[in-house]
Formats: sequence, C-alpha cells, structure tokens
Amino acid sequence: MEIARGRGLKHGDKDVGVVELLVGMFGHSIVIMQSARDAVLLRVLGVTKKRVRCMLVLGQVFLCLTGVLIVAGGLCLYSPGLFLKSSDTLAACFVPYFIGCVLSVSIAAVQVTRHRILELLQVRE
Amino acid sequence: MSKIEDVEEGFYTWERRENMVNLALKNVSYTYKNAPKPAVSGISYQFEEGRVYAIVGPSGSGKSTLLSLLAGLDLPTDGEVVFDGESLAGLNLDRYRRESISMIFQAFHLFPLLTVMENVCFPMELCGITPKDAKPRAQALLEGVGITKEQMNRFPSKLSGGERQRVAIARSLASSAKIILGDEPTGNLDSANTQNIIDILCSLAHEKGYCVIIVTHDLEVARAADVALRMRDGELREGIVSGEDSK
Repeated sequence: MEIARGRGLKHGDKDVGVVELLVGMFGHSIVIMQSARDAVLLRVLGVTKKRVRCMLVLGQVFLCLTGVLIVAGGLCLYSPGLFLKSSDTLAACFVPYFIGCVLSVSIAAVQVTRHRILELLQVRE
Repeated sequence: MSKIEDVEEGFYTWERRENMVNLALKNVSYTYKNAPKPAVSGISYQFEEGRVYAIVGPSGSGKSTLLSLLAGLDLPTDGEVVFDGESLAGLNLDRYRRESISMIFQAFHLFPLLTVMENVCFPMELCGITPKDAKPRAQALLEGVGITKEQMNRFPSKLSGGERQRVAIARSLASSAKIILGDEPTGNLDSANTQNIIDILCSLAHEKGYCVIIVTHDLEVARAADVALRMRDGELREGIVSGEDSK
C-alpha cells in the first residue's frame, strides 16, 4: 500500500496486484515455515493436526488483517483526503495481498504438519 | 526438592494414585522409511509406576526412537505398545499424548511467545480446564519446582537453562498424565542443575507414583535411576550401566 500511494498507482493495476499477491504469499508462508518447531510441539502436546493447521492459519490471517488496518488507519489519520482518493488503489492492493496470504499460509500449514511427528522431530535434531 | 509434595495436594495426588501405570512394549520394532535396518528391534518390556527408568546407549542406538514410540508419536512397524491393556494402534494418539503422557526435552521446547505461566496453563486448557482454574494450579506447580512469582510472568528467553527445564517439568505435570518421558532432559544443563532436575524427577516417581522414563547419555542420571536400561543396535538390555553405554 505504501508503494501504491508513493507511485500514485491506479485501481486495477495488474502489476501492483501481482506484487501484492507475491508479497502476501511469500511473507506469511515464511513465518509459517519458521513455526514448524512450534507445530511439532503442539502435536507432541496432543493437539490434533487439523487444530494445529487452524491455529497457524488464523494467526497469520489475524496478523495480515491487523497490518492492513494499521496501514489504512495510519493513512486515514495522516491525510483523510488522500485516503479517500486512493481507496480504490488500497482495495486493489489489499485484496490480492489477503488472498495471497490465505492461500500461502494454508499450503504452508499443511506442509509443516503433514509429516509424521517422529519424522519432524528427527529433522529438528 | 520436597516442594513438589506441597504442590500436589488434592486433585493431582489422588488422581495419580487411583490410576496405575500400565505401559508395556510387546516385541516392538521400528524401521524408518528407506532405512536398511530397524532402529528398534523386537523389544519387550513392562514399565511400572513409581519408578525412574534410564535408557542409556550410544548415539544411533534407537533410544530416542523407543521413547517416541512410548510417547505415541508414531506406531511401531512391528509389535505393539500397550497402555492400560490397549494397544496404542487402537487408541486416539492425540488424546493419548494429551492426557496420558507428557514429554520433556533437552532443548526445553517452551513456546517462546508465551510467558512461563501461559506455557504451563496451555496443556491444562487443552484438556478443557478454563484459564481461570488453570492459573492457580499452574502457579502451584511452578512454585513447586522453585520458580518465583516474578519469573512466572517472564518469557522463557529471560530464564536460565535450569529454570527453563524446571518450567518444562511443571508443564509436564500440568496435564493428567501419569507417565513422564524425558529425552535427554539434562543434556543442556550444568551439574548443579542436572542434580536439581534428577531430584525433582525422582521425587515425582517415588513420592507421587509417576512413571519416569528418561533417555540419557549422562551416566550420573542413569545411576540415579531405579532401573537402568541399555540400548545397543536397537535392542534393550537391563543391567549395570558402564562408560561404554554413553559412547
């Protein structure tokens, strides 16, 4: 969204959408992959695979939404006029970013939990 | 380390004494995918409550794999692990891990983003205990292992290794589990903290009736256990532990 504002990009700009999609996918999936140790520990403590996946996905979706709201709120406080003017661009950035986040964290959450716990622990060692 | 006995008044104490530990291995073997030979080979053994077992053996002898099978992290490729008369193959393994066993690790494995108190409350909440009820119990357990009130609100990264392991022990006591499994629980600790952890685990077994099974390289830990088991090439032997076993 910072990029969008700085460059004055217009609604529907495909390049921005693709960039936002990739940023959303890459950033959040990396965090999930780094949570593999926590995921294993949750499984050891008896949390079901399904619940671990939900916890990982919901955590990242919450972070994603919080980030978007903070940026939008900050922009609104900084310049309400600019916020209104660029609301279409903001939406065009947010939607692919959010979709990228949800898609990638879902895949990453399945990836980090699909193996047997014993195999995951061996990898950790 | 007699503090433990002050902690487990009521709920925890009688619950453990009512439930006898019955954990057995019946001709258990385990072969990793694509491995040429089994990591664990044809092991039969019966574990009893109120005792500390140390499993000692060289690296790659299969001791951690055996502990993982006891923990229900996977099922044996041959034979069966029997808990309370039922094969683990017929049980819900998630529930078994949640309610019947607890694990402590060499690397502590506490959640870094949760405070000490939250780490101990977490397994109780998984078992359906409300946060309101979980907190006083967690506090009692933490005090029992010598964690101060001030430390309870810190994050694990602000504690020393010995303190983190004591928190991990408190967490293992938080569930209704009757069996504590330790994978090198003293591996990252100095000798004073090692002795402290051994004392806590022995008092839990001898005074509270837990079944404590520890995998270790440390011969001092093995000597402090009631039963020392040696593993070599995937096979288990009961007997005197010598320096050869830790190599």
